Amino acid sequence: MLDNLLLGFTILLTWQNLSAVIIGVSIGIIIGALPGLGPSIGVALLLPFTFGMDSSTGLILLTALYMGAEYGGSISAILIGTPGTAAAVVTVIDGYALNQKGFPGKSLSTSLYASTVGGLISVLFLVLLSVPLAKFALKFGPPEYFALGFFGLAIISSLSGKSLAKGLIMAIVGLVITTVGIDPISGAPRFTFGRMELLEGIPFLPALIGLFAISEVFTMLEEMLGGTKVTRKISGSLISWKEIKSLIPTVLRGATVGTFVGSIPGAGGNIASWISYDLEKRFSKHPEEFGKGSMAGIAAPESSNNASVGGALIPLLSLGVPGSPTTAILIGALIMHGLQPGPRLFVTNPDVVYSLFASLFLACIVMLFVGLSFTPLWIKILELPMSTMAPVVFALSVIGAFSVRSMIFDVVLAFIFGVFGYILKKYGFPLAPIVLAMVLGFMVEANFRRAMLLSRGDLMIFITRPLCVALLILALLSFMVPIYKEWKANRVQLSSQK
Amino acid sequence: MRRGTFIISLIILLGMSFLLTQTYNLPKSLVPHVPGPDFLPRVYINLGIILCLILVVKTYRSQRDVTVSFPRLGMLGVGSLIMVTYIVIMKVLGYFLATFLFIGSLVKLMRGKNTSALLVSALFVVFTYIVFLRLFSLPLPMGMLF
Repeated sequence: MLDNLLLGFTILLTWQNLSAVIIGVSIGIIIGALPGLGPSIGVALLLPFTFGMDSSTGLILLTALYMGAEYGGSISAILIGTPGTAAAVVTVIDGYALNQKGFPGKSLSTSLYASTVGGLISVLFLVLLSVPLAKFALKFGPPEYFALGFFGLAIISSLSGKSLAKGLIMAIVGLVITTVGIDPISGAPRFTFGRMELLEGIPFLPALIGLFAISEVFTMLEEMLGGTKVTRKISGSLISWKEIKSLIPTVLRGATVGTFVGSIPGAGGNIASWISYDLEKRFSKHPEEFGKGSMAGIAAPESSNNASVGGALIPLLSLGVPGSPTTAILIGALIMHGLQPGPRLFVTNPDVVYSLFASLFLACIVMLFVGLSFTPLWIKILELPMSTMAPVVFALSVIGAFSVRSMIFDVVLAFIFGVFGYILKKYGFPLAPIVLAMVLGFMVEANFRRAMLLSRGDLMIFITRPLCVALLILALLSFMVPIYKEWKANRVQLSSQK
Repeated sequence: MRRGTFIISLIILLGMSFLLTQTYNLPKSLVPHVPGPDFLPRVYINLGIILCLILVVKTYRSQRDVTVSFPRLGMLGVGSLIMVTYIVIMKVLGYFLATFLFIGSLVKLMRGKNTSALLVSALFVVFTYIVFLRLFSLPLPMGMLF
């Protein structure tokens, strides 16, 4: 393996492949930062351009873009509270909050540092453990996928803030939204009310853009028009060495979660970043800081979602099974270049596989340099007056919402979600549970019903499979522990008052 | 906060109740003992109704209240109207012209200068044309005119 890796680095060190890494990462960062685009769109757009290239160069370009885009999503998440990619939703929670406190430089550099290290660690896992990890991922059947989704939903108790009831209601609203459209198992339309546009369900991206970006535009309008805007001092300082060292355990945990969850086909960076965030909040000595600009709250999901890139490549390269929507498009790229994804690829084309591994290492380093170079520019953008930011954010949101299905209906949906998001935020209803439920709802329902079909209605299928049981127990603990801690804290407070 | 929470909970409760009635029109499962397309929506909606009722009762019994204000609600309404108009006229004028007019209007509403309004509108339209249409060939709403 070491020989093959050295071969990979040798192949990488040509001007074509080095250029592919730099160009791929740079384009990826821009694509990831623009709400409505994302790594899968970026890879799909660039795929035809790789047709005339050498196989290694083409794949290096596309995977570098993938890695860059996962980091790029955090830029708009931090700057304007709108995630550029679905996986950057969690980064909004603390990234935007830290920006609002006047530390955008710290927020952006924390995200960059965590993304770089997360990506590097996942590539290490990819190189050393791709085959055993792929075998582990294959153990996931419908009951395990349901349990994983359920585990993800259990995080709601820690995302609900002060009111668990409000958080749970929002999660239920999100779950109900995912039931709109054609039923995945029977094909029956549900809650479409005769509208063709709703047959495919309520698309996730317009809802996300509405809840985060457009609701934020209303908040900006309110601040400017209501005269409540407070001019804040913006600090351009970046993350310090002391802070970097303190975040090492966070980043390592996030990277591990991201790689494992990313290697499960269909799970992806989105779920990984939520799980990583929740895990970090539980490990933290100061969980009360999460949601208010905690750097660990930025580092955890960012290292996780970049680590999921390496994770998603594990089943792709080892088994020919895509780990994420982007890797599904990468399968097309492999086939287009005459390569058959799967275990034989390591034998028939080790040069392609190992040059890809080498390029991913380099892509993370390039991402760090490109990111650091552009951070002062991103901070400058924040100095733009709100009267400029608000309409620009709204106009970008329109592009993002429209890009999904090329329908004005989606733009209208985004606007409606924006209005609701603004009102809900005002009255203390958290928006994160809606998004989490929309991410996981389809996976939970489809796999629950597939599992029930497999077992002919016998619920024991969820109890007789060890992995499923482990995930369900984790889910229960994950849900109950914050509630128990709060109940205990309230009891202590009451008894001290007496 | 109490009144708003109360109203929002009631609205969600009513919405969920309506959807619950709709679930009875959904087809049942063809396979015995296996949940059909109506099962999980009904579970979610019933849970939602129970939670809304709990929240309504908790809010009613709660003594604490925080004032929630909507400063300059009228102007916020004007801003929303501009956004709605923007979405509507996009179908006629197309993305670029509609966006030019929209950005200029909203900058002026937010007390920006005339030159800022013109500059930002023009620069943004050029940026989206080059990046989204030319570079990434992304679909943008095309109106009857453009």
